[in-house]
Amino acid sequence: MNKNYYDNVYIPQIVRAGKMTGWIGMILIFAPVLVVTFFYGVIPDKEPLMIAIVAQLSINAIWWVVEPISFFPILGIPGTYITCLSGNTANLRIPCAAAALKATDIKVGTQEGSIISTIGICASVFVNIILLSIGVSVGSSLLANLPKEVTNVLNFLLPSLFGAVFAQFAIDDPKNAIVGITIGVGSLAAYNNGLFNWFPIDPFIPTIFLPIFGTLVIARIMYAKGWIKIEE
Amino acid sequence: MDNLTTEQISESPLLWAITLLAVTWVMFQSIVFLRKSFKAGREMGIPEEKLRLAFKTGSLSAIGPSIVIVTGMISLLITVGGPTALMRLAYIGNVIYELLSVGFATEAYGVKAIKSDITPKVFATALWCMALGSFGWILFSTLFTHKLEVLRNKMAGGKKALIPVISSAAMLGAYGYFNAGYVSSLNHNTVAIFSGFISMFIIIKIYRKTRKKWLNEWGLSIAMFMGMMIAALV
Repeated sequence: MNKNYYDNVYIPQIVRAGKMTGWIGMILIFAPVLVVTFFYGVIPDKEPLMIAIVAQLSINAIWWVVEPISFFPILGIPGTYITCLSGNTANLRIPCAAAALKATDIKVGTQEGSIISTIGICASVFVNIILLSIGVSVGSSLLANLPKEVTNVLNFLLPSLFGAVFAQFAIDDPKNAIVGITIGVGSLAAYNNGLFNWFPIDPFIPTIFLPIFGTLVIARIMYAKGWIKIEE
Repeated sequence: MDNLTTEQISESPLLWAITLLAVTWVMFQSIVFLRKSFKAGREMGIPEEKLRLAFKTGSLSAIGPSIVIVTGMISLLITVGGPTALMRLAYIGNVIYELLSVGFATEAYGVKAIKSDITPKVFATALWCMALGSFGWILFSTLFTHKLEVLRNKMAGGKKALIPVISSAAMLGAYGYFNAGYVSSLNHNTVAIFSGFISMFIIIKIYRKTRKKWLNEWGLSIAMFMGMMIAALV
């Protein structure tokens, strides 16, 4: 058993690989649009292009920073590199990381937890790509003809999944669970009632920051007061 | 090449080739990370069976959410074609943002987001929105991920032992955020989230009594399915 392997070998390797895959990944993002614009010569009109891009950036750009910071305590270094390249963080990567952690009974945030959740996330990348490829080859005609009942029922899969993942962590950490869901629902209500309208850039930002970092800060306070303990 | 239709471009072999390359790149990253994680796990003394269990559970748990992603892909397939849909959903994207890009592009041209209205120029505009709207995630993570560890240590007040505590709290806080909308909507989604929660709760309780292996691996998928069915039947 090599105690320093994680810090001294694994993480430096992951950072190197993460940066390399990231830089090339960034070029690949632009490949389709560059081909369409310059190879096929489809040059969009400047004005609508600008309008569309500004609209898109005004919604997305702040989340480039908010999301990785918010999810970092859960994903750690390796998980953050993978999710930023492969997307679908909340609806796929985090649930799979959580499931892997719970099945192996290893705690999130530990070095072992980082290894286990990374393995779970990598597995989800393969499965997702396989199913998407099947979906694309089956084709839109067949998918679009799915009976309405089926697609209606599938709408409930995501909320049900979120409830189930929440239960996995709530069962061993009920105090933080109550804090988390209370702040979550409270912040959303505050947002809906315009209480965050003063917030610069996007008033929606507090609805993600407050539950995550609020729960985190309260957990620290409860720990300091001895209300929650670290089990070994 | 002025005479090409949107479909000739959006389903062109060249775009398929780029998509194949991008998807391969995501897979490549995961393969590299997976191998290093298995090696590190062994070096750190994590039992082999736990490493394999993590892979198996991650795979099984990905099936349900991936099916949702595939059905969400339909609208993208129809509007922007196979290669773009596949690339955007296997690669940094997310159905909601991609549909927004299509929406912004069509709105800017004053047309509808339906196939017949998407001219090559609208298509190219949507692609620009998708690329520019998402490259920042990779840019930020490529530049700063390794520095975020410092931030997490600060949040734990420099105490290493506290990191699992705050990470678990962050997980619950994150799901407080994801769940908030479904909990407060007070409709079938609320039923789904509660029945998913209770199903998982019961499954964990049963697992801890019986130690049935399959229940541990399939638990999340079963709970997710039960919650979905209960919401549909109520």
